[in-house]
Amino acid sequence: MNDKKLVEKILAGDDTAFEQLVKIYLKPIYNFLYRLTGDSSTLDDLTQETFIKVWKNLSRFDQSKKFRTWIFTIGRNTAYDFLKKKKSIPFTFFEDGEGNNRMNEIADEKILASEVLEKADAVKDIEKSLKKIPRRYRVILIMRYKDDFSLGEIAEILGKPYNTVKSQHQRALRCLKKVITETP
Amino acid sequence: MDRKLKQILQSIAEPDPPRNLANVILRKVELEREKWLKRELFLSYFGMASSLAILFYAIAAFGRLVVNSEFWSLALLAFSDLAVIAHNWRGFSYSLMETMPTVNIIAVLLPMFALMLLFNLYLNLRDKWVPKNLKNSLNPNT
Repeated sequence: MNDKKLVEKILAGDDTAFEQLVKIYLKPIYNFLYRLTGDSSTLDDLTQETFIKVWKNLSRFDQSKKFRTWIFTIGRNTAYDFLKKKKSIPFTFFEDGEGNNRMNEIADEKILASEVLEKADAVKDIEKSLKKIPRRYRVILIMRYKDDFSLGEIAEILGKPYNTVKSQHQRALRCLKKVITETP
Repeated sequence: MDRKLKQILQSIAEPDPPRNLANVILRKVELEREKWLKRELFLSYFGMASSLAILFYAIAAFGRLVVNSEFWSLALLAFSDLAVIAHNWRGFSYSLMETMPTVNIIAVLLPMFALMLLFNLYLNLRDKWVPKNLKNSLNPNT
């Protein structure tokens, strides 16, 4: 059953449809929140909060839009609220004290060629390399290549302009390349 | 290249959420639902009681004005002199419209309308609200 039908069923009062929705999105949302916050201690609470918000606001969901994008946007808002409370501003740690972006220093060449990926063929190597790149780049790469979102959808979920996400995606690839090539 | 990266990233294992998390979420949603229903039911009771009180007041205050108005006397003619009215129906209609105490009638109809709306809301909520003990007793498996 697709998301649209599930949403229709929930709005019609079918309780089992919401259970199905939770089953489908529990793991993706759980991991998405972990990627955004990097805090495993509050992950259960944030996931619960996200799904309760989904249930409360479902009647306001515009059914002409993609449900998947909407639920991830709610997850993002929940994570940002949590980070605001924690007073940790997300995604700025890759800028130095003077506000210069270290990523701009990376050479602008063919971004992530297959040879580079061959070098880090093992999944574990990529996993390690991903952990070394800034979190906001990691989030974009995983959303793009693991969760299979388009750049437009990522922009909508993260609440950023499309062009910003597009350039961050390019930088993320460059950054990953740099990490892979520099790893002995 | 994109496909290669996609393949690699998709094969990265991600942690599974705790086993009981889905149940905890569903339980919390159920609690939220009950809370919402209770709140809505309270609002509908309160609204019905208020609009009923306002309706009684409106009938007492404005109903008397309507009954004592020229409009009411004219309207009563419809029961006594129907043949004459049928003959002069146009003039009678104009007279009715001219003498109609619109504000007084609206003042009586508004709370009546609100009462009907709130009663409809109450009936809808009552269908959704099945207390847990009743739900369990209706379930043949329990």
